[in-house]
Amino acid sequence: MNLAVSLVHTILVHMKLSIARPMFKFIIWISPLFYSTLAIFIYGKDSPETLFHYVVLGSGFMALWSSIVFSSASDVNRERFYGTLEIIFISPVPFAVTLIGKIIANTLWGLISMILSFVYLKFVFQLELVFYHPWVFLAALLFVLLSLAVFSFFLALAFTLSRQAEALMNFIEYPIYLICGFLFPISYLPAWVQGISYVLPPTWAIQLLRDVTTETLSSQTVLFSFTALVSLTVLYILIGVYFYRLMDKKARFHGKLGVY
Amino acid sequence: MKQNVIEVKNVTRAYTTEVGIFKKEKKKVEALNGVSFSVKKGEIFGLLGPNGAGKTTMIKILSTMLIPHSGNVSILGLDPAADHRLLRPKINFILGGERNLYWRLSAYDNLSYFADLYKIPKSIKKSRIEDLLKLVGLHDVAHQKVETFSKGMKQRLQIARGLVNNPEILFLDEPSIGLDPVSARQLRETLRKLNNQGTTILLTTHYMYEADELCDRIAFINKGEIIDIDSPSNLKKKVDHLSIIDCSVLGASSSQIDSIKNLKSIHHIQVDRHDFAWTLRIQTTEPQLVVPFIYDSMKNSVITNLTISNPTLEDVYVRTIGENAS
Repeated sequence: MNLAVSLVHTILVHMKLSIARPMFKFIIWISPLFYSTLAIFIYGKDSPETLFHYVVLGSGFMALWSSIVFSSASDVNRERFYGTLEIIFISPVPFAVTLIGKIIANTLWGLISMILSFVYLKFVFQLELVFYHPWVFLAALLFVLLSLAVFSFFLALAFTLSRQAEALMNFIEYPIYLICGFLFPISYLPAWVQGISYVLPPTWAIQLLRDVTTETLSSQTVLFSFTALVSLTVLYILIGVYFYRLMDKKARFHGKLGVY
Repeated sequence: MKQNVIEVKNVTRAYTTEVGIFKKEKKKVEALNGVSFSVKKGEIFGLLGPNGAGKTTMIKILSTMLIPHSGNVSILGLDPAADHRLLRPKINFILGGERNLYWRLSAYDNLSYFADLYKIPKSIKKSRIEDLLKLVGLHDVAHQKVETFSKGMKQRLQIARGLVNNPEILFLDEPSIGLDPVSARQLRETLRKLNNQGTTILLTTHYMYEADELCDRIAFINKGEIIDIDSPSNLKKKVDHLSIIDCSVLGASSSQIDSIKNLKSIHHIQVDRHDFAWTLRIQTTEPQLVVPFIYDSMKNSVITNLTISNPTLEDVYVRTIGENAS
């Protein structure tokens, strides 16, 4: 029970802390409008389904991904900068719970940003948001958020473990838009790049949402995307757990937790 | 006879760093080299030593943040390396400086969050936070953002944060660093109040006056080794045969200062220079010889101040650490 209280409080505190940062405010409130506008200019004359798949979902996912890159991925380092990392690390609530709380907080902000993008497209560009199978879409969206949270957990730990990886943080925002096919199908990409796309959960996450929002819903394609996303999620959970143990070791054996 | 709540035996800890840009080499730095000491329940114990002596490493080991390479540590009968889950709710630690808080949250929100991280039951959380804010004198600004606080206020909030779980043992790493004299005094009063309530305190500090006033016992640590442990009064007895001469001189030359340095009746001399002004702090058993010699050798200079006093803890520290270094 106490753990649940701590988790909820972590979510609330970090929602407050994240949105207090001017850059994060811009990412959540302003950048989705740019992404949506950009996407509508690219696909403005296409069919409603393409518009939904590549404008609504594409720009929504860009907003969600930006929130992940500029929050969860660097949250551990931010705690280090605040000087609070060592304190939360040695508190009785396991550090993993605190980290998960932060990731949920940022994912919720990402979701809000995604919804803002939907609302903007609906009311400013009069785009039709047709959910043929709303319950299937909702279930898929929940699983997609879970999968992205797991990927964030992996990224947060990878960036904590390696200073070189941290330098890549600002660098991975746009490439992921392209590699994971947020704005166009990944079949447009060279074969070797597609190989990278397939091992990244956002690729299958957006694919799953596109599959469940197709008018002629095919259980076979949905099942394929779903299975791929589940498999990758499990894989990233395993890598995340391994990284978490490595981080604990780095902190307590090597004494480098508070070191930049 | 009070029981030992902290026992440290032959603890060693080294850090490995890489040096060089192209051809990287690993360099091992011994932070602790066979450290042993114990702390009794209800005691205020001070760890004093120069920068890099191993004080912070010791505090990190005691607060479960770091694992020693060898030796045994027992806190409240628990091993901080293996039993950290059981130990963490019973202890807390406070670092000096103004960081270690969420500046964009209010004082109350900070304490509320840390209370949850320490699994403080909801039934007592609110009253404990209010009591702590009163204890550190921040009750009136409880809902103000920390970023608007002065350094002293942030430091006091850190004290409150460290007490959020009502710890049996509190570790403080240079808690008064950068504080003005009034805030430092308030901090000492708070620590004394806590100690009177039964909290065992282990602190590191560079301020001898603070250690002398607060600590029941003090350990001098240098280059990862404990050099001496005793009560401040017993430590001072070790140099009570000495007199301390503080002398300020204007316009002296280096050779004049060197002539004083070479005087045989001087046990230790500390020299500071700011432009034309020199400050000397001399430890001697023969002030009746040293004082006339200073006046004789400074004929063309101006002695602006000269006092003779009893040794303080700082003199014991300078002598002990200085001897160890030489």
